[in-house]
Amino acid sequence: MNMINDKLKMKDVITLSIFNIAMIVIMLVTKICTMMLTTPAFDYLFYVGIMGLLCAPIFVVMSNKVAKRGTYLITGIFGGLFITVMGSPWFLPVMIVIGIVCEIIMMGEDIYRNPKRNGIAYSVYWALYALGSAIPMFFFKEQYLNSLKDSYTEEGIKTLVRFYGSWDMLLLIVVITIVLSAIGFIVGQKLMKKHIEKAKLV
Amino acid sequence: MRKLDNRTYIILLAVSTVFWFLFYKNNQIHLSVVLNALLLIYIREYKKAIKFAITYIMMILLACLFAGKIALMYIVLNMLARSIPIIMVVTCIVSGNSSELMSSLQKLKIPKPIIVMICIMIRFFPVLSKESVAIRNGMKARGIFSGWQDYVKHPFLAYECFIIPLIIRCIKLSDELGATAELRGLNADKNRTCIYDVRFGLKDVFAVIVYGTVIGLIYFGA
Amino acid sequence: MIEFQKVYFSYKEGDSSIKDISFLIKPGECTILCGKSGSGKSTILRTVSGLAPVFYEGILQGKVEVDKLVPAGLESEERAKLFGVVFQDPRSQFFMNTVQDEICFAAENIGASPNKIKEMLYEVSEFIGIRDLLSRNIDELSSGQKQKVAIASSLILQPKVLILDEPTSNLDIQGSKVLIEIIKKIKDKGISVVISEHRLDSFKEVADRFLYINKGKLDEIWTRKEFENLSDEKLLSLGLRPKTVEKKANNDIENDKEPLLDIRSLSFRYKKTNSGIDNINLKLYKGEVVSLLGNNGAGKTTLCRVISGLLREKTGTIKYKGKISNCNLRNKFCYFVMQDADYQLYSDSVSGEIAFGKKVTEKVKEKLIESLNTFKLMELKDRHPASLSGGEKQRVTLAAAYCSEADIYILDEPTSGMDGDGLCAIIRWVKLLAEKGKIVIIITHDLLLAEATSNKFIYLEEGEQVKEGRNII
Repeated sequence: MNMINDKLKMKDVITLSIFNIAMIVIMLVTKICTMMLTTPAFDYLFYVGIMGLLCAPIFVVMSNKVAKRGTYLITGIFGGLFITVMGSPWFLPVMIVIGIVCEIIMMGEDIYRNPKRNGIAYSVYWALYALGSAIPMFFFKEQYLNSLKDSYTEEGIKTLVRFYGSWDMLLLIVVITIVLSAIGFIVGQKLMKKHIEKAKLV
Repeated sequence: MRKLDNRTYIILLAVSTVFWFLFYKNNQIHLSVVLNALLLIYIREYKKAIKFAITYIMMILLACLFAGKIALMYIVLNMLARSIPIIMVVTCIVSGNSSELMSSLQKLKIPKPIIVMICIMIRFFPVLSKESVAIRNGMKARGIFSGWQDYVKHPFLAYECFIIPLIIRCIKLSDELGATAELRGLNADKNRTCIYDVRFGLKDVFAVIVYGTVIGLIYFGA
Repeated sequence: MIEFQKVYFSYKEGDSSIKDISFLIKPGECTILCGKSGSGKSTILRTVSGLAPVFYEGILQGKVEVDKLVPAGLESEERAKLFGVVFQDPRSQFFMNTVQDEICFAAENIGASPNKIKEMLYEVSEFIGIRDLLSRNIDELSSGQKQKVAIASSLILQPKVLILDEPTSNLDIQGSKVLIEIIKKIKDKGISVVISEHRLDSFKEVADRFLYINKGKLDEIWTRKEFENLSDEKLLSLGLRPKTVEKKANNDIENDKEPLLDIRSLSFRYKKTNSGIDNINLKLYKGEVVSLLGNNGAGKTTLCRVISGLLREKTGTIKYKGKISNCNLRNKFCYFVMQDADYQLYSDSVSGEIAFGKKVTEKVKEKLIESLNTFKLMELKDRHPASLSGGEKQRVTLAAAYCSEADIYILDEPTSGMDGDGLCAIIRWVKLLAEKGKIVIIITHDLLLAEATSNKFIYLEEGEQVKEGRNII
């Protein structure tokens, strides 16, 4: 594959944007559902993983359709821009870094059609996303605990500290996220074979 | 309509994000919501100002209700309430005019693909939300997955039935939109012009100074 | 202006989709491309504008010249200046949120001076007659207005060629008339207009020539006169829409004592827009076919959504077999075929689609084979539904409907974007369903379809039932 063919064209940018919006719609619905329908603990542990699980088919089709370097970076920027709109602009640089990391994983020729490598990068993308979204928990930990002091027993606060902002919890989240997004990716590959490739749309 | 330049909003967004990280008391967040409501009123988005203010107050009240009982709920609600001042500033950008926005971003030397992305996001986020509702209606209209029991019984099938039409619609939309872009000069290697006068004027300098001072006062004073 | 000489084009894989096409179009001429779906009309439009092979990759042979330029070799900017193109689906061609910005979009992209753009904006909006819409939001517009905005925004750079891809498929009768008037004015400016279309009859006032494409080849060229003299049999044999159809014989079915569906003073309002339907009264008997007519936004689709149980009625009752039924119940015996088939196809093969959601028993298998045969889908049964053409997709959804146990079928614009073959096929199937004692409700602007199938016509206007009769008025 030569260099000219490897550069993103306007057409690819548009494809990436439309698919990313679809992913964002799903992410938004997921977040609302986990927040409303499950306990905060479940939400905290699982929501990024579930996003990775549910968005995977869209991402698989998108990356196979575009199949050019920059897919992860654009996805990262797009996600970051959207999170900015949702009220967390600090996440934009984090997402750009995530995108770059995934681009490094995807170094090589015509790698986007290689499901293994793409799957690894995809899981890493969501794992880093989970890590990134835990940042404010670490920042505001003191503040929350302070405000809870009056109405809570020391015991209760201890469990909270264990839950939020402890490294082993974070590790657990990363593991859950990687597993769920990897499952999603495999399912996505299957669905793409079953539908999109059969219909010759990629 | 009284408007500030989009670059002003971006500066305000950066300023309020930095202070957002620095704020350590809830009072400071309360005050920054007031400040941003005044900003929205200044650009004559009265309805939005009221809407955000009410949402914020509701969240804070709910959080207080949960404070003694479910600590996790308290934290979650507080996190949400905390993002409201930022969303208010972003609203100034998103609810404005995309043509002006493109022009401002171009003056900031943002690469064209990203400008196009932002423009498509503003235009097509509502479109795709409608598409997903239409797919849901399509399932119902065919009489499959009409009740929630069906979803519980076959969650995977339900997901497949939703995601496949969505992907197919996305493929079609992006193909056609790409062709339209090609035919309407979006690929042209030229600087975009704009029929509106996009300028960073005195008004904007004034707004940045006042906003910066007030938010500084909130930080050091409260 | 446009010159084609022995043009061949083939997409990346597969055979050439157009072969040996030669024609010449003069400035100010209006040319209509007609032919069955999938005959290569869109490919010709794409080669005219140079999108094929620049955007749609493939191999182009032969000479294509537009205004002495080769479209495939043009820069994006030059292409934007030379062509104005309006696609079929209004959802996928707008980039901006307000009408004014949308119209100026192309001019801003190629860096024209703001003063000149403003001048052009006023000229174009005056010309198309949308001066009063300039500050409106695109999403608030009706489909006719959207079409006008799309045309205006393609004219802003004063192109020499205007290309319209199936412009009437989303328009009501009134909208099509306005469109024809606009095309007349555009022709007078010396702009060549190329249109691909199925509803030929409405264009006979403005079209100078009709090019009939068959399997990628240019088979026949008719002048306006010649087209007017073509007989319906000839048109049908070519797979084109006829000018008139045989009306349905009106045998009285109403001898049945009790209506199957009895709708009384039904109302519904959308919360957001406060539009909706008011006080609808309808009695439908077994085997009846009803056409719902009226302009866009008259509430036809809303009424059908309420009937099918997708929306909950505000006031009024719907009785089914004499019993009042709520919206969940109605969902069971109504089958709604949406205008856009893409939203209703889920399976990975046509046969799987038709039997979707059912346990595969011997009985279902029989029914499946029966419906595959009646809808002529046997050859396609293993294909993926998404790889079919629009007409074929519509046929699959109808076959799935046929296979279901529903008693009431609602078809929303079933013939939009369909050729003559598709129209005739739908007419046949609607009759078949009626013979089986089902009720079919058709929402349509297509008077041919309505005339050929229905024995009751209902006109809606702004959510109210204005006329009802046994003949088209």
